[in-house]
Amino acid sequence: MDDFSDEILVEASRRGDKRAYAMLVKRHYRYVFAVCLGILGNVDDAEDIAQDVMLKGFLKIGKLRGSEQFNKWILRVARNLCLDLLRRKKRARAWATKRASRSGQTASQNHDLAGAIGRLPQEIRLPLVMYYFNNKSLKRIAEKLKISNSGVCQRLKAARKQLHELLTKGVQNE
Amino acid sequence: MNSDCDKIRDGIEELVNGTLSEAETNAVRQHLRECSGCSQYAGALEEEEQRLASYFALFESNMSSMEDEVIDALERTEVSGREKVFSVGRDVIIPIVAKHALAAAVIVVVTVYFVITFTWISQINEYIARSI
Repeated sequence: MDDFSDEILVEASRRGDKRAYAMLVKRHYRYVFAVCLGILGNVDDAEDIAQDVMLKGFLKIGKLRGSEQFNKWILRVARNLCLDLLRRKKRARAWATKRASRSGQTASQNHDLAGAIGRLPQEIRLPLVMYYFNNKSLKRIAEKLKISNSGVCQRLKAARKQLHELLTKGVQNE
Repeated sequence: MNSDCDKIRDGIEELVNGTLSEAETNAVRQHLRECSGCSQYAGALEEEEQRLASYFALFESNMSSMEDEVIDALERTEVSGREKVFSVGRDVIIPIVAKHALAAAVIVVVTVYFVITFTWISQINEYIARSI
């Protein structure tokens, strides 16, 4: 089944073939996870949402019109679920901040690499994460994010600069 | 830090990304030999690049087990719970048959209505004619 194209696997998955869909999981999960990690900036959330995305993909595969579009479609599902989670978290955070400011608490600082990555703005974090999940290929990231190669390059540069600042600040504050 | 340093630091970030041309790389390397500040910055970025690469490599090594978790969850997923899947019978044939059946029903109802109305009007006319 390893040799089957995405189209064939999608058609089989539409008929409820879980083995075929498992092959699609093996092929596309890493990119879905990269997008989730890039958008959410948190490993645990990314893992949960990436799993949800793949399962939702199976349940909703009937809605996918072009079988050859599975990769683009599943990444779009990932992006939408991540943005939903971010919106929910934003509402929860606004509520928590209100409470924290009332009780005089300050948010704790996380100085490690994962924390610094998590604090990068989403628009530069996503290309940075994808850079490492796509064999450092700018072309592939540009295709997946639908931006130019130079756009990817600019975002990566900005990500490195800000990450360096965050990590340096972290060390200085310790 | 001199006026070139800002430009060179841009180049250092590109150098770490692997997107700098050979000529630009040589220019940056030349500057690094002369400027300790930029050299330190380059060292820090390269070290961060290594940390990032090792950090993301951890996921690569766990990717297979993460995929297996998804596949396990997939196995537990009820197929009966899946949403509507395209089917020729349900999505093409049944709607066509249903449309025709509905059209036929409407025609029958309208015809019956007109027949009854016509009969009723004829009876009324007959009754009126007889009364006169």
